[in-house]
Amino acid sequence: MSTSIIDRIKKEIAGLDTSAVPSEVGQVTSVGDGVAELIGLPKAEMMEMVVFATTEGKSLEESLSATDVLYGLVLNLEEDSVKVVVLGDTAKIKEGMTVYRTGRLLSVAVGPDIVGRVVDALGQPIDGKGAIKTDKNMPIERVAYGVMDRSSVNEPIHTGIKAIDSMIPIGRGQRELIIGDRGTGKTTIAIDTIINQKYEPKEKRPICIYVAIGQKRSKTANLMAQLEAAGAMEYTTIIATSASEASPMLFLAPFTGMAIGEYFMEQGKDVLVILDDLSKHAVAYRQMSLLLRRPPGREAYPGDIFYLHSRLLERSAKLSKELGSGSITALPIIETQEGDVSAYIPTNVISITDGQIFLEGELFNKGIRPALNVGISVSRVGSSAQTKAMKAVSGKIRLELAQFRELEAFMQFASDLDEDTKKRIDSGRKYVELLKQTQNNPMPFYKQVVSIYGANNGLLDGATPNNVQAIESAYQDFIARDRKEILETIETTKALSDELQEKMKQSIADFKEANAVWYTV
Amino acid sequence: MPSMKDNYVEATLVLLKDHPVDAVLASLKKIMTGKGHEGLYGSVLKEVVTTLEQKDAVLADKINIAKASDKDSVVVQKLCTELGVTVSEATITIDEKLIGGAVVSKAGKRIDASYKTFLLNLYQSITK
Repeated sequence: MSTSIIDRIKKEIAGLDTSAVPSEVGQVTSVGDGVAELIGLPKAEMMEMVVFATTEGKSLEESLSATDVLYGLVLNLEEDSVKVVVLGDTAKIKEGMTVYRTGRLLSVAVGPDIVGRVVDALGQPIDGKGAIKTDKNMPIERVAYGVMDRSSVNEPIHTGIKAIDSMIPIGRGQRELIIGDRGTGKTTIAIDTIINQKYEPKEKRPICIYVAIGQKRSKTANLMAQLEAAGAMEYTTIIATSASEASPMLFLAPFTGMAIGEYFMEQGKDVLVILDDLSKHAVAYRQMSLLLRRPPGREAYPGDIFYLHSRLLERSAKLSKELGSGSITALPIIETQEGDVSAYIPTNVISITDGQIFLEGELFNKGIRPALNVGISVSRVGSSAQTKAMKAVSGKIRLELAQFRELEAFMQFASDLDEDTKKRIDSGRKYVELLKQTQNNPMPFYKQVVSIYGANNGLLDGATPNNVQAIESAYQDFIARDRKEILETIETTKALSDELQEKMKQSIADFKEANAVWYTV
Repeated sequence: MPSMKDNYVEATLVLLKDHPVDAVLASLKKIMTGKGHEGLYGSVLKEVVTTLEQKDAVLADKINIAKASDKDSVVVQKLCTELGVTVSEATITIDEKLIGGAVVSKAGKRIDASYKTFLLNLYQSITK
């Protein structure tokens, strides 16, 4: 019986159209350290994908059990040869193996279903939830939008962190660097920002893309669990590359993140891309470049390391109305060594971005968290995107903290200081306490406005700095319970009218009267 | 860093593009002897030959078929015509794993019309 089946299938195969298209092929001459050198392929293009014929010489049965396609990425075009980085297991490649051109530049398949998923640097799902339905291929490398395609940053993206939203506001389409030593809370700020987006109305909620570049798998798993617990995975995509993966994967991950972001931006949506972190990305690119025998420059980084990061971050944009007003806000992270912001990669990325949030280990160890150094942290374009309500309350806090920083050095001589100086130091300490926030506890902007307005208008007068957080928490509960309309008005109008300010002042007076126990000083 | 041997091999390959082989070999031997590197001469030449053979192998006319009798089949004739390969001048290899059909290559181009590839593509289109 099987003979008749075989004969029938053979007949069917014989009848198939054999006019297969000629493919351009090359041959592997050497392979090592994730880089393969090929001869042939005279028409190969930069960033083109090639396919290694891993099934060559294998029987059909063996080939069927190994159907994963092994891709390479053309990165060096030389006189007689082409060098490609292998996007997979180099152990499968043999000398003399045939390599096919695909004619396609490296791209990632994207669709709306990619939201809520964990993918690798090539956009392939790695969360065990099955294939992702895609409808478009987005090129991983692409020229950023031009000047005429963009509009100015005019809408805020709230991080939920009082110190940032009040003093270093970030706008949609901005690139704000988060920089600091290891263990100072850089990733925490990024995660809090993602979690805080759940307070945004659904139609304005940005799609969040977290790109883990060379992170420990345990850290990425932990982060995913935090996002899931907070209900933030439903609008988040994680691109996970671990430290154990080949350097080309780490190099591609942020570009994949941007490509996915552009897919949504072109549909008029807002996107938040977190690149954690670009220091590891630079190291991966250095490794790849050295293996490709490109000449090393300062700190052995290749000469185009600045161009690498500038072309990546330039893809963050706020599009014009004609193009749908979508945006990509980028929060790149840089890890410094011993607080040295003048090193090569930190200075590069500082100059590319529109501001930086600087985190200090010393502040962190003092218990000031987020460990934000407000003196050297800046946002160059965000203030124009700040809501009127936040702008109205944040002016004083900035001034108070600036004065506090100047007087901080005299704090140890407290007994010799005049009353006015003591008052300023006391006020500064209370603001520092007010700006402290615990992990995974972002605060929606309307609540932040209420807290800061309270601090500016006597809520903390008469209290000790140690009680500030308890007072703030109790005051927030009081407002949410008894003066809900204040929160609703700020959320909808995003401004502080005179009438509203009167209500808020009254609420402060009422709260202080009802909670006299806090005010003993 | 490329080794000294690699540098000699690269230089020889560059020179062979524009100069007669005898002149290149004579100059190479003279330079290597002058520098006291004559011991490397043999291995440099072997490496040059390997590299040139690899390049030729990519460009050579090749026909891969599953069984010897397929040489004169319609499929092979059709593929050879398409790529401009003369059957009598091509290197013919028998590879039973192709099952049927043929793979024809010439000057860095290849048409894979083997049954094995058809079946693999069919499997992938059904399962993915």
